[in-house]
Amino acid sequence: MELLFKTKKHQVQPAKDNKSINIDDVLHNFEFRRIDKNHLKINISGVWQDVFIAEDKNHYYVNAEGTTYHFDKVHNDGNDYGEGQSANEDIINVKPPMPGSIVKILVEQGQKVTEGDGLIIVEAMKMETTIYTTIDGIVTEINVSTGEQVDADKVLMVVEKEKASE
Amino acid sequence: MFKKILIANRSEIACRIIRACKEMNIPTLAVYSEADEFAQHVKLADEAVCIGPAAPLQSYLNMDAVINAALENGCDAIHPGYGFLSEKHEFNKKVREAGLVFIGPKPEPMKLLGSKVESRITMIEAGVPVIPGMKTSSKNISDFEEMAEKIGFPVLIKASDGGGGKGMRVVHKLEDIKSSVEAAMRESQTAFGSEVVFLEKYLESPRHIEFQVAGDEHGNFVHLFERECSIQRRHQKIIEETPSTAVSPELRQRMGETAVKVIQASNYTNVGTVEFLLDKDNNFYFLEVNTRIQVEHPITEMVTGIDLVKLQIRIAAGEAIPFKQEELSQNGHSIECRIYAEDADNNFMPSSGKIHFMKEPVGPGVRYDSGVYSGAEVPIFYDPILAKLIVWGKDREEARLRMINALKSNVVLGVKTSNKFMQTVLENQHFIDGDTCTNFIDSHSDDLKFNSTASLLHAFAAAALSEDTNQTQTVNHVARQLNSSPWLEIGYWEIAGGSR
Repeated sequence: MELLFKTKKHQVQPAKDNKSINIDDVLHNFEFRRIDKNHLKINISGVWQDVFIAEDKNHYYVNAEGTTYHFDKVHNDGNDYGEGQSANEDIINVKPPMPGSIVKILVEQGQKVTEGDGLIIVEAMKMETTIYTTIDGIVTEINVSTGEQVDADKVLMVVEKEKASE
Repeated sequence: MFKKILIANRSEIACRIIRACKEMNIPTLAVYSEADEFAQHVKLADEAVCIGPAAPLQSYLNMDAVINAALENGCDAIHPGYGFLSEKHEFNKKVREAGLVFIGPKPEPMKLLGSKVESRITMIEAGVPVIPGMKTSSKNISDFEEMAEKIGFPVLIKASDGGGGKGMRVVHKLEDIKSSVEAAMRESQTAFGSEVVFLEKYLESPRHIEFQVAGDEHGNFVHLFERECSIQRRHQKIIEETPSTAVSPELRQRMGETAVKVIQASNYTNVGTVEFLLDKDNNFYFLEVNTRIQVEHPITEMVTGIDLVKLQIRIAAGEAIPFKQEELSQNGHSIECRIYAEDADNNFMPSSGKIHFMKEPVGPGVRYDSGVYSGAEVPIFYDPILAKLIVWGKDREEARLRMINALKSNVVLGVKTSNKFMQTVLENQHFIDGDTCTNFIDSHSDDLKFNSTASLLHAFAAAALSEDTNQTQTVNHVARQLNSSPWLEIGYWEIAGGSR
């Protein structure tokens, strides 16, 4: 199977006899006990750990030895369902850090902005967060208004790099 | 004693209060918003009633809805918890006018002490040391700018009616004053219903030391020693301990006496907290009084053996404080870690969603005050506190090690928490040495970064096994269970071989 952890994809495949596991092309000695649906005892290369796991449609949530990892499931359609801004540096799709409401829009459509300018203020769980532009460019789209409730995947506005004049 | 108490709050503190009431044989009524129908406090209370939509202003901050719920359901007292309406003197007054008991101080001392601006003036007059800054609030941005230039940057902008770090901003340069004052005003308006903010000097590297106090209707005033709450992020405490490593017996006595003087002067009756900042030279400055139960009250309970919520209820019912100052002592050491739904990797941004699975730590000296459960939703509308993990040890080192192990076995899956981050803090040499200050997290941020991948392979393996069970119930898993058939005991097999 394929898992996305932070920005990197990882290949994980237990052997058929479940005595070894292949992780990113390295073979490890492997053994496990299933305690219940959410709890496993796993031995990799001689080290036993208690591991707790839960999942939803797009993620695995795993806790081992006091550390919790969030993995994105990599679906067969090739999309990783990961979060985050568009990687293309010529255009940024501004998304809120989490679901919340729009407190104030600091720019207007068509406005020129420079890296570090505040774009919009979002509030969630009683905390205001200002989202800043990471590129120089023009605000080409504003898709929300003040007071609106938004989900984390909503594109609030779009900033595009100015095309060099011809 | 009261016939039935309405708990005007949610999450872990509502559950904490309900437990105290159960032990006192007092029936409880929970109130909840439409987002909290399946919340833990609703399940725990004897009765529960919905008081409005998810938005706090329409439910938990709606005074009339809360008071009406109490009147319509035979309650004779209201416990406000912390946050929400707990420090609103208008609410306090309305509750009393409706013929109900407000479990907390009277409205007048609450009004005086609850306002950072007014209490500051009172303390200056009483000769209690305060931090340099604006004497009163202003709506005029230029007043803020003038004072900032006079006392020098950095400065702190604070909501007069605030608490818990909400509506507070540190400002380093003049051009940021306007936007910060406006942001603090908006935050304060949403969280506390008032946009009064003021400005004071931002002390570098102080410790936050607070004293638990109590007064009753019979003229008794006591303090229950200090709590050190220096480990903060975004001016909000996340780790607290008592006793403080910075407070000597002599300093404890002086600060304790000052704390008692503060509540005595204002004729404060019920449980409260006097907050101080302590600088490197052991000078202490009055910060504010919290006229309610604190989030971190359990650590005081652990070392004094006194149940502060029951004490609140008894004092509100007119009883005298059942102990004297000289009968109190600190036994051992206690630490609390706040389990917030937040992302320590991303500037502690709140995290909402569903808790798919959780497992609470257990063991000697371990206490878990929780407001959630496996399957609970964490709504976006409220403070993201999920639970508080509290430990007691015979000394600081035992408590510290106990907390590290308890955090390791505290499992919350589905939302992010700062569980691992707090382990890193407790393992930091400066913390071990007791060398803490309110900017501990910022000043040691490089040391506190964790890129722990020690268990990453195990985590990957668990995900792979989990996928396995979802798709095909492979034979090997079943073979490990008892009472399986010989066919299953022979291990992985398939008819006619071939590749899988």
